[in-house]
Amino acid sequence: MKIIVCVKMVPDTTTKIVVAGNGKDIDRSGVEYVLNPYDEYAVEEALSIKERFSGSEVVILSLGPSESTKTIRTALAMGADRGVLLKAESTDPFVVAKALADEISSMDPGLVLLGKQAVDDDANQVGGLVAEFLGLPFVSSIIKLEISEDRAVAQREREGGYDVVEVPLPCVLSAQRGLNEPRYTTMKGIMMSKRKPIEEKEPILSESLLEVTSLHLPPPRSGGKIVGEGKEAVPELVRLLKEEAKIL
Amino acid sequence: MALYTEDQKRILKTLYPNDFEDYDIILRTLDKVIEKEVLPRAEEVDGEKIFPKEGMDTLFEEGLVSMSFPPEYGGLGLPYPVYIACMELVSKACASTSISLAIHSTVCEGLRLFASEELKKTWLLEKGLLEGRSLAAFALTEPGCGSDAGAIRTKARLEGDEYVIDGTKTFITNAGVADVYFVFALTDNGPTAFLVEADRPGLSIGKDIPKVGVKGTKTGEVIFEDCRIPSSNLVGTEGKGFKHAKEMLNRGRLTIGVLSVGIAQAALEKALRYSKERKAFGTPISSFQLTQEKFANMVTEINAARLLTYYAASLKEQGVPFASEAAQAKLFASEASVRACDNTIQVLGGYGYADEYDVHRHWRDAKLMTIGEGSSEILRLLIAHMALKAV
Repeated sequence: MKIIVCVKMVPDTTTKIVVAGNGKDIDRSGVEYVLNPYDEYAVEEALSIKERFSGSEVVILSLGPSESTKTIRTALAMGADRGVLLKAESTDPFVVAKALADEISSMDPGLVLLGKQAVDDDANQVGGLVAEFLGLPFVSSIIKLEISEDRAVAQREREGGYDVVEVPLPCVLSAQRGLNEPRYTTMKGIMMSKRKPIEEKEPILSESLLEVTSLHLPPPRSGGKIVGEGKEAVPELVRLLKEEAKIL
Repeated sequence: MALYTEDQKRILKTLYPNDFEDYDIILRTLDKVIEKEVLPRAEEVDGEKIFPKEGMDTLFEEGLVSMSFPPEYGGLGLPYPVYIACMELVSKACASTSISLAIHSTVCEGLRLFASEELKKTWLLEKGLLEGRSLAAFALTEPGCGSDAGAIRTKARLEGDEYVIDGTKTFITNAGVADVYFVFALTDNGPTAFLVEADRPGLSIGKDIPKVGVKGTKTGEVIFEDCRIPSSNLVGTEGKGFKHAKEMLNRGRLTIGVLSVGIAQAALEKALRYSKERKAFGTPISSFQLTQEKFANMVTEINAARLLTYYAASLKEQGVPFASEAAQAKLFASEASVRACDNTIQVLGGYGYADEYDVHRHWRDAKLMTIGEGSSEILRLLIAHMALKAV
């Protein structure tokens, strides 16, 4: 089975974000870039499927700057077979998805996996858009997957539970945390990844439908609020947690 | 990056400008693994005296122990300083884990250098010492002699095609958990090295030896009473045991040196962070000159220790003599580490002395390093002798 995993290079989640001079981008200096954590679940799932279906191939596909080869290499070090880098940058999920789908359509995949969203923009759109462009079924936020030669049965997470969805292959699936426990790359994997090919292409991107006009840091945290004292404070606290903090 | 430091990066980049990227990825990956699988348990390993098998197994799986061994043993042939840099990370998180692995690795090196092809094949490959499927221990010290290794009394007499070993070893790291012991005993031809499997009749483990530091390690007595091993378990040549021990200890000193650096670095970072938050007399104590003096000394000495250790490791990698540099590195790093950890407790004051902030563990771990694998006194004699010989 040929499995394509789409990955994105994102800033490490511990990065202190600084807005760049143009007010629209993050300042990239000193930023550590990593493989998008949700994509890691997708890579791990692909590798685990490869282990079950002999003769399978896992191809890592990414759209990004040339530094994205490092991200692809992380996935290769985990055990993927080869990579394809579409050297381009876009913050528009539509444009990204179109370019990925164009590339995938020439690859004849058995399955397409990716993380449900990237931790930089949290757009959560590319998976669905890619599926739409390819005319394939799409199951988002999967937390469990059973694969056979021609079908996938996935648990799709939703508020308070999950759906069980069955789709024919090929299909597009986006990975949610909890799908698996991504393996650590071993030193052997890291050294062997150097010998695995990464093909670089320069796609022509479609016109952007989305424009980032400005980027702001969130407002600084305000101090705590004393709600009241003792048991009497509890109903008001619960109300605030529900309606203002929105965590209940 | 919780553990991997900018200083380490720069040293590796200087040593290996062309391959740095690969080694950087390896260290960053290992950093992540250690942060998740070793660091969180370090306090408990120390407090509850737990042998850190799980963390060690994870590091074996990563390829830590085999990384600098040649491919025919399943290794990657990576340069020794890169292995040293990795061990610094382990030690920074948990000294008990790092030293248990270090002793084991020293035995693996000894086998690679001196053992017969058959023993190498059996232990480095089949029984998987490099993959952690078996564990090894190094048994030289006895109740009556540590530094005075020449005074060992354990005997190995040849009877037909067997050796019969009698004697007692003590302060043996990994005693009781090892599958095989690298034992030094006296034959008619003098001190000789042997491999003794843990399940040989006649080998028993004495009581555990409680210690003030590296509490997660298993340290104990190993007793040989009429313990029979096939003559093929001889490592190297009869009578050459101390030569073999010296070479193994030279390498072991590189590791102990970097273990000391890792411990000191952990202590230093805790002290720096604490000093910025702790206020006294209305101001963070980091602004006090007497505190800054300590930091300046610590930073300078730790960096010097690191550089000396990595330098000695690079000499080993080049295949040139490195015994003096290894001794210098271990001597300086271990003593600097004790000073740094002592300063850290001082900076944290009562909180450093109390158990809560997990700080005195570093001093307790560091102190062993001035004692084992060549005491500071012995190393000073060695360094002086070599300097005098060279002139």
